[in-house]
Amino acid sequence: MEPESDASLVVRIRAGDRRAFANLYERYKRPLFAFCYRLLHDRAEAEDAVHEAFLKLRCAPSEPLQPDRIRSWLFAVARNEAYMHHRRDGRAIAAGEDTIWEKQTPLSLLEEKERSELVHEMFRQLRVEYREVLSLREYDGLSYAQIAAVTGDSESSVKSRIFKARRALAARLLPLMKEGKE
Amino acid sequence: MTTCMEFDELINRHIDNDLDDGETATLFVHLGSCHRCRMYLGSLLALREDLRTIPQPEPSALLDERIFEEPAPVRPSRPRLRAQLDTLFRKTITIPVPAAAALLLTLLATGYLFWNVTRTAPLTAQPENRDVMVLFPTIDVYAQTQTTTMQPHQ
Repeated sequence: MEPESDASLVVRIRAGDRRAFANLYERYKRPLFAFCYRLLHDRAEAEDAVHEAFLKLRCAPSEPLQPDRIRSWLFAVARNEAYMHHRRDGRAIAAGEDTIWEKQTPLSLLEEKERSELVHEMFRQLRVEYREVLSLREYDGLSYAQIAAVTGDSESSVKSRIFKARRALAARLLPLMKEGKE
Repeated sequence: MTTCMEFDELINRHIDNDLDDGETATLFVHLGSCHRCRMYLGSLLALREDLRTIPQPEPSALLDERIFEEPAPVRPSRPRLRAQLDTLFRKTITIPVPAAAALLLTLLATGYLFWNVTRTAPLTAQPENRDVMVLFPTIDVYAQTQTTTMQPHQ
């Protein structure tokens, strides 16, 4: 049996069906939480952001524009909440600057950790505007257009940020790669 | 001529399945002859693999509880005038009932007395005119002289 589509669930949610709401929540709670956690590095704040997104859906189910775009809508609302937490904590969000890293990764880190751990650590240290687009692409499988709908940017800006983030990560990974591995 | 830096974009789009057939063919021709771009593609694929091995964080059960608890009812916003009228109404019903009854009785009694007095009062013979004559007798004298002088000639 095929799972019910998002669009159908949203139509039922609008009609006040609590079961449809629970189904949609079960479908998206993990990816939304993981996405927010990757942006914030804080479990409680990530849960707050997911909570707000579903609360908006529950209290104003007619607000999402189109039922077939509920995925992008949920990610966009959760992202906005995450950014509000980010700003509240005084973390810098200025986009469009040349720097990609939030912090400088010490070279000693390379020696101490396994490569995947290191990649994880480097990913965490990307600036949030790069981390979010790469996260939506690599973990949630969103297309460039869908990511643009979530972030409110143009597709070309999304592409550019994904490329820059990958290039920056690859530049730090390349010395670790064995010469023969291609 | 396309440079390696320009091929970086194609490599990125290739791993995102965003290339058409022509672009894919161009890229692979270049990869066949460029060690640097092969390394770059390899590093991006390794990066993706490493990123996907990171365990995904799970939300706590507390989130489920928070999501399914009853949200506070949202009061519909009312127009300003309606809200002011409501406030006014709330104020009137806060007047104590005995005070309101006493006020009503006083108004009724006053109205009755006024009506009774005006109905039974005698019609006096123009007291106002008399008062005026007392105060200003010259006016009356002047009036009398006028009437005598104005008599028509016989």
